[in-house]
Amino acid sequence: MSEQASISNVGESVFARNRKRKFSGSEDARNAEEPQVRTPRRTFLVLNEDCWREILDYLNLKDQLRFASSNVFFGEIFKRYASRRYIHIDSRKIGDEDLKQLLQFVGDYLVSYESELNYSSNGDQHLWILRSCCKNLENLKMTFRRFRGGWDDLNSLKHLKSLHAYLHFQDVDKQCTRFAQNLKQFKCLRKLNLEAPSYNGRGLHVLDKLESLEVGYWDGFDAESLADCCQLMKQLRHLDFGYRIQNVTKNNFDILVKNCKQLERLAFGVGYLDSTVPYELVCQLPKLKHLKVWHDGSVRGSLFEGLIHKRSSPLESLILIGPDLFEEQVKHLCNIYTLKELYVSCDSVPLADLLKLKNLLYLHLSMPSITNDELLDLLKGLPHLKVLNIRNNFNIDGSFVNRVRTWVSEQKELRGKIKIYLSHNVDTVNVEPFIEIIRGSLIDPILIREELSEQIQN
Amino acid sequence: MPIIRLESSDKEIFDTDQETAKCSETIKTALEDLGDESDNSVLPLPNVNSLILKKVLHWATYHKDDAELAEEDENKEKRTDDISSWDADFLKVDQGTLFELILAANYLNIQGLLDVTCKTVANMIKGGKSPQEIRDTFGITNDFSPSEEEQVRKENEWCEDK
Repeated sequence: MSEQASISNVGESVFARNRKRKFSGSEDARNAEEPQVRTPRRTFLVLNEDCWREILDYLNLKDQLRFASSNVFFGEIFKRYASRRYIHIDSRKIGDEDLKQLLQFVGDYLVSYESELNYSSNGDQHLWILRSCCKNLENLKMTFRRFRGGWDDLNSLKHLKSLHAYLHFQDVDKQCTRFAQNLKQFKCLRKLNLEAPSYNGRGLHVLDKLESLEVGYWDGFDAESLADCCQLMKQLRHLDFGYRIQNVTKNNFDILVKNCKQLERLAFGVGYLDSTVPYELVCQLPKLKHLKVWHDGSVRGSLFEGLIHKRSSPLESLILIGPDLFEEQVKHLCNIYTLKELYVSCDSVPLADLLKLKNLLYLHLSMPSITNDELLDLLKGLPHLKVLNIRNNFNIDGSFVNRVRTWVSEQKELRGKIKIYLSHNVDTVNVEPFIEIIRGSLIDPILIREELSEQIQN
Repeated sequence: MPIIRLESSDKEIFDTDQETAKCSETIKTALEDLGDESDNSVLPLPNVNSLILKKVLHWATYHKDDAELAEEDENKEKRTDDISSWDADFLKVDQGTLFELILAANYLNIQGLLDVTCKTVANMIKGGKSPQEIRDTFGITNDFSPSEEEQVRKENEWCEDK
């Protein structure tokens, strides 16, 4: 080991043992107990924690860690800084050695940890550090490849509320089932996103305290397991069962509607479904507010009809992922006046119908034929719009920006800020005071994800 | 133009103009609270000594016409290579004075001075300096005991075994 590496590691690890040697509970670095600081010149002792935070903000992580490893006092300063600055760590952005050090500095303050999700990731090798230093971890995103007779390291993270796991085990059925059943012991776990290629879903239903479940993005998960989950997970508020589950039948939707009365958000695919499966049954879910549907170019009209006449909680977002829908279908869904977010593709622009959706906050369109005039009409006609996300806007050009400028200058009352994403032809520009045009497009919908995270955290 | 009278911790009085004094959000708020009573009254600054207050007022006088600072994107790495030559010369001081200036800028809430002084200290640390070089910069020692180093080595061996 090099001298530098050795010194660094001393700094990081001494913290774990030196808690009694730190600043006796005071927020002010000047109040450090004398015996704890063995430095001859101490002009820097005048600085308080706020000042050190300002300074450390200017350093990258490597420099911060070297600073922390140079001296016990500086290490304590960094530990306090890191316990606020690095409560959410994405390990994909940090080198292995730095990561080990940082985790030990942040310690029990770490709230969220993310690592790479794929079959070649070795992210779970850091579980032992999380176990030993970061016992209060609440949110974990990680690939699990190693079994070694159990998950003692993972099981030590008793405060986990949210787990996004990618499972890559040799004996898929046996080990994935054990993994799922093992999660039963996590009393706080409310959210699970499970990516497990070829796993059929056996054993998952025992997690009856879950409020959010995402499965079915990989082949293998079967409809029987889905039914088990729906029957036993009575507290589910968010269910995303993807678009790859085979043999989903009417029975699955019956069970879903009968048992998942708390469901507020639902996502599923209709492409694999038999044409007779009455998926419009989901309109009977009393609390459903957000619906995401993967389709193959057609969505049954009875679904829209059910959503238009939906009683109790009104639908707030409808996310339709797939090829262009027919204009008639888009016109039909535009009668769901309660929508705050719509995500849809169509090869024509039913402008008058879209303008009926006066409550829209977020509008995501893939309509290649949309023109400057039509886009401007949407902007003018939807008073609450915050985001207008237009993909494949081949007919929009630079003159649109000038039209927006003119319109903005004519406005007598200020509206809220509007972000317009355009995937083609137009560069990023601010049209003061309230329009930001951004070259690019949003991939994910907004409400269905934002509200989920807020509610899970609460 | 109204004169603002500031009193340092060692009881020295400094007269300055309103524009200069208002570079400090702390002083600005205090003057607003005082209203008309601020005329001819002395504003005590018990956390800043006369040496440092003199330097702060020197900096504020030079920068009083600066445009307001734009908010930085928190996700962007902050730059430290954009210190003006005037500020760089101004901050050619001993470390004790530099740290006192940071503390004063923080107390008086003068964001521009706080930024430039913190950048100066950051530049003393960054750039791939080893822990020993950082210790040399601040004139401090490696105060990790041999037993602590030994314990860490053992822990690292265990880590490697995992």
